[in-house]
Amino acid sequence: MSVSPDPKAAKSAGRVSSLDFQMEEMYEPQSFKRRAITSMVQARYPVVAVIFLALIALCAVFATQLAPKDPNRIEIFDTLKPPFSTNRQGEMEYILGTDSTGRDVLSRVVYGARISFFVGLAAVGLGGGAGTILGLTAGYLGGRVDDVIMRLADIQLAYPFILFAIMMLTILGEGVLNLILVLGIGQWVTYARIARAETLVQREREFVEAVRALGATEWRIMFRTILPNILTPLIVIASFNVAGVILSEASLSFLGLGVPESVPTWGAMLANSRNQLLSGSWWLAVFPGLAIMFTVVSLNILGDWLRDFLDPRLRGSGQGL
Amino acid sequence: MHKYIIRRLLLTVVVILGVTLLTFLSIHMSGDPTFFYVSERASAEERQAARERLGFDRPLHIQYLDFIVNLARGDTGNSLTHRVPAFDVVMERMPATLELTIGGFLLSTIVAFPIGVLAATRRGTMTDGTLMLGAMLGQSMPSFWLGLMFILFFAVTLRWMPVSGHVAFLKPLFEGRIDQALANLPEAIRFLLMPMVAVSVYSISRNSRLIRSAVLEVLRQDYVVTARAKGLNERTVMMRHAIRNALIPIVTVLALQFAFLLNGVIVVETVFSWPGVGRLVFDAVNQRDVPLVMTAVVLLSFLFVGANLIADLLYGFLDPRIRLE
Repeated sequence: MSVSPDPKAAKSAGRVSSLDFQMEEMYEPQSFKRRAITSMVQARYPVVAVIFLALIALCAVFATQLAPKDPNRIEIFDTLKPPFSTNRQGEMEYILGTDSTGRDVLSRVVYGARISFFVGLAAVGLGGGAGTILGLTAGYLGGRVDDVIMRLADIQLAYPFILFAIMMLTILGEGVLNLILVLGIGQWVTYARIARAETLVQREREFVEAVRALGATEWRIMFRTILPNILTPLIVIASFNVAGVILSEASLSFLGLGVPESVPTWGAMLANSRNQLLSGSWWLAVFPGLAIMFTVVSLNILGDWLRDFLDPRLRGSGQGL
Repeated sequence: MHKYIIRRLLLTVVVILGVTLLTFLSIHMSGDPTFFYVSERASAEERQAARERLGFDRPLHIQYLDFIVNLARGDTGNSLTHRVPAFDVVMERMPATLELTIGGFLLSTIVAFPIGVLAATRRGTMTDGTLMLGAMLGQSMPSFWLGLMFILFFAVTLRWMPVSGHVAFLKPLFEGRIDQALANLPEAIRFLLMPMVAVSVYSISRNSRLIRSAVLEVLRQDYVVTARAKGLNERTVMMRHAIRNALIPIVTVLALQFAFLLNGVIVVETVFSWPGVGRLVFDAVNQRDVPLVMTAVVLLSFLFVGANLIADLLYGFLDPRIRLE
């Protein structure tokens, strides 16, 4: 759709990687893991991000053990309690307060991590996987196949995602799998376009020619020779994409689409908070929002670092920002 | 160039056709829409009568072709729930959505430029760090949450702003009632302010990060060094040499932002009870109002595709080296 300066990017790509190669020969090679850890510690922020994400992941996996209460338990005598409220025995009971039906906000925030994390990772896995395969196929085979796949991508780009999601989720009905499917479909185009552009570059390189001369099948050339060489930018995009998908998931839950009402999500908590804002129940809107924000910011920081570490030439290209 | 534009317009037609087909099939995938327009106790005959009346008895491809042919003639058919032309129903709501989208777009562009350029020229300083940290945070907040926080803080606590509501500006303007539009303007802005800022914070953050890296990229170029070496002052170097060249990648991304903004607008409309197309589409899908959904999707897609087309044309205009073919 836009005019992409492919040949230029291709040239510089070749230059950068051959430079890397020389550097590696000149210096004592350090293990990948070691370099990663050193670079992360030097950048500082990514360490904090990783720690926070680990915490959220822990909440997602062990929600049942970590949440102080059943997130759906209704306490009609304890509705709209502000944070740090004590119960009738004078004990601190609701650290983050309760909502309009007396459900514990802290427990719901902890449980909310589940949907955000799971849906975020699964949708990116689905969309990223499908997009990569389609882009690789389009770029490698070219011709009619390329045309069909890329026109499909154009059509999807012209379709406001939120409209698409509203429509599909209304029609398919609620459910985690449907949510993952719709969010996954929303992501494939980005991966397909990048995978295609990268494949066009790699396809012409000598090692591909060499493998072909050795008699490798097309299938093998695509998935064993080219795919590993185009993965880096895709991994970088994926790390930002998880953040984006978590934001989209929150928007859809906020609109009341996606998962059933009984499943606590951060977006749905915010939707319920809207009616309580006028009465000043700020905690209902503040905490789930902060949970979303800190998760997404951590993922973005991690993505930034990953990009600089793995593929600095993506910096400033507008991809993954 | 003309050839390119014609080719792009043809492509646009293909894309819009694809969008309509996709929408049409998805609505019908969920079963017979007639059920939404007859009572639960309707007999088989009554249902059949309703089906014929609404035109759902015809084969799917005939229904689709019918819609497309009529669309080409400018007739979108009547909305099943509003019982007036679907086009009118959507256009009734469109100005409010456009106010929010265009307002957000302008705001995000105007604010992001100085932030990005400032951060780039002060690279590595405290200013740069603070601005970019802010941008990182802004990029990580859901726009609808920001909207809720604005309501909580500026409307409920401080009572500076109205919680929700809307005064039309674009609608009277489109109808040629310019006096009315101008008279409405101050109030319209007052109501627009919170949703507009909520919608644009994400774009401001994203754009300012992009502008920063685009400017940094250009500042490294030889011609900037030459410009400095021949003794031009920093202002001229920045304005004439650096920013002008940095504009090229920026413009493309800005136009793509329009699409992102529209997504955000549809959600933020719910927060502020904004009378735009977002809610309209939502209800129309729920009631399987086929003509209305189709019309709304077609019009919004036109906006999308149009923004992208403009971006591509500007791209060639800003950098004559890029030949659009």
